Amino acid sequence: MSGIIKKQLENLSKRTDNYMKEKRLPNSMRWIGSISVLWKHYYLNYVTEFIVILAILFAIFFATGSAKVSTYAIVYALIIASVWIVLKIGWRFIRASTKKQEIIIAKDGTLRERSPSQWSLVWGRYRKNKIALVSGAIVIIVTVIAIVYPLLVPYSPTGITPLYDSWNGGGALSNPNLKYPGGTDILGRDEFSRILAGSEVSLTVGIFSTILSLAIGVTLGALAGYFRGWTEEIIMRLTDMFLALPFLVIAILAVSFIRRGRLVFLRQIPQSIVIILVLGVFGWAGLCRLVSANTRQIYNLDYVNAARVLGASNRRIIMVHILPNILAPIIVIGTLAIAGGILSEAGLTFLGLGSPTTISWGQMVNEAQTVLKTNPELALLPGFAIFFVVLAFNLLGDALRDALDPRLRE
Amino acid sequence: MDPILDVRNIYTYFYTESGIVEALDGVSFDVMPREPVGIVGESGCGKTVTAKSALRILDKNGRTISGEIIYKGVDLLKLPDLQMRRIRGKEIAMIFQDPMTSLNPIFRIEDQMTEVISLHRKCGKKEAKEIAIEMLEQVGIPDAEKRIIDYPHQFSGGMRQRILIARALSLQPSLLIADEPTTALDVTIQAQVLEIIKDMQKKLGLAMMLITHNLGVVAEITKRVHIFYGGRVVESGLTEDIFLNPKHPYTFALFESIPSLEVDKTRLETIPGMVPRLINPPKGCRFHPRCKYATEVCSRIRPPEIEFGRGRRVACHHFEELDMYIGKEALREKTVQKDQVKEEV
Repeated sequence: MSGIIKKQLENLSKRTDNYMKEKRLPNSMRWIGSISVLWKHYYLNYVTEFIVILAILFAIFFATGSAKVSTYAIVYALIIASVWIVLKIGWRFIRASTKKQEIIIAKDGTLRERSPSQWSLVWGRYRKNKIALVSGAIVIIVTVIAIVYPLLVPYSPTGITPLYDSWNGGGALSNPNLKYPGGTDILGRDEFSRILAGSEVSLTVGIFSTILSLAIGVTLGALAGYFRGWTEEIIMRLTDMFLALPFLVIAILAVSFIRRGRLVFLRQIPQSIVIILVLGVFGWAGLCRLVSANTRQIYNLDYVNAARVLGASNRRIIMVHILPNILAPIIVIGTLAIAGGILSEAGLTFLGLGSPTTISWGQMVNEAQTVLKTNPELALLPGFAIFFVVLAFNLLGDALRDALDPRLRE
Repeated sequence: MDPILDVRNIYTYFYTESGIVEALDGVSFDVMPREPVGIVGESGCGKTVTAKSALRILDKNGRTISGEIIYKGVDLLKLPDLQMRRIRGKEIAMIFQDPMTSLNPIFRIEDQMTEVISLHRKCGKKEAKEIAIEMLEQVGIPDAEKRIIDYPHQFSGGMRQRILIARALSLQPSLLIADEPTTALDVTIQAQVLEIIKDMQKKLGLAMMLITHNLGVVAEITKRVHIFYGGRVVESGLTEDIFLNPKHPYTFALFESIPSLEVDKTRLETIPGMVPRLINPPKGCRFHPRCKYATEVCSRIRPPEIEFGRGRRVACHHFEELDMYIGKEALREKTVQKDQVKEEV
């Protein structure tokens, strides 16, 4: 017993001696050092970033006045900042684990740079285009607004400003003033808040209807172009049928049937989902044609044959060898289709097919028609909002096309 | 010894808008294990279609109507798709004509090399990459380890063909089908690539089907030759036999149209006429409209394939009479030419 203790003591004194000699902590205590080092080089950055984001968010909320309106604004800000930081740390870990080494060391010790991938080349070309950067930034800002608009709006977009506030610029149909920057509409709701809130429906409809029509169009187009024969015959005739439909008329019919038709269960579907479904289901035909033609073109190339000879299955050939090669036109058409979706949504709601409880730019223009002489800004503001967002998406699509296929520019 | 690939009497037709193209009309030949076999013929005579029929990768409008393609005792034409996929790449590999388009431009060489390995073998990425690097080194890609991360556009045509050879051979298949592997390359590179194919064939003990219209390549590499004309095999036999003593008028005409170092000619012999359109091919012997020795029988009856010693087969009505005639004529021509040369000197 005493022997063991003696040994331990000896060990301890040895360790201290080592520490004194080499000026470094014993192995059992080194984790303290590692944490302090990591803290300085690693986590400190994140904490400062967290605080900065929090400060900026508070500034925005107080400036727009939503911190006074909503008691949860501070909680929201905390949640946003922490989600941001968590995402950032996660992203860093993901990149560290998947990132391939940029420089390869061969057996003989020489170095060689990794050649740039297609996407880094595309990003390089995109970055040089100023219009592209501006339109991309607008798209990102609008998307962020659409997500966090409950925190940004100064007043509730569906709430009615009190009539007694009319000496201060409130009430129905007031002109734009400092308190209500966009004025108020017929019912006395704050126009500016409604425009911020309207971005949500516009973007959701635009993006999700495009995703739906992409899913249908790309699948059918790839199948038609790859399998030919009867498959192609059936799919292409279906496409022809859908291309022959007058889009607006069919969309009006479909929306009004779902909203007010005899089938009661269809009426339960929320307004924006109805429009997404209608736009998606009737908007895939052109894309299907494009994908089918491109698939045919790629199918005849030798590397598809080579892949078949290597023993790849049809599914693998379509997914790995054909679709990535026709991704560029699909991305471009998709971006332009988002703009088209936003326009169609605005058009449909303008024609009175919206639901009164959904805030939508098209519907705001519709409601402003009756007071166009006295309050033109009620129609102009949502109109300009539609205009800018659609323009941004169209420019983004053009820029993406230039970046993805530089040959098209000349 | 059983042949590794036994093609028996296959008919492949293409259904086009202007009619049925009889691309293969009763083709039979075989390939022995470890044996390099040449398939020779003009463009559009069905060489590539034969290879594609064997691997069942014909275009959508083409179909093999009847016949058997027996690979190691299994009829490939009757195999279900899944098993056919296991044979492609692992058992039978194919190299295509144009190395420029045979690699997918958007993936790195690494991904394309490891694709075939991961399709057929359960192994990790690292292991697949090691196999890929080893294969690339074997076909003579300098700095394979460094270059494996490059894209296809960073390689020259010859290098890409080497990469394709390496990819085709990375699972040690038993049969390699090389479809005009050197046509798209320039002459100096052709020699290098041929050398590599020859080396690898010997090293791995592959059976090989070399499709080409270059008789020099055939003489260099193959042991046996099948000569195609208009979707049929007109003559087959050992390379040396066919080169020394061609029996079919088409084969003879083919050799006549090669420039020779021994004989000084001002003008090369050509075969008159055009390659037959296979939509409505000539009846009887398909070569008869262009044949010097054709008679009335040739335009009526399809010549039977007559087999004699050393695996030699000829499909011609008149080969017995012509045997002497062709030989004599060739001899006479040669002596005449030599006399002329002497006189000129």
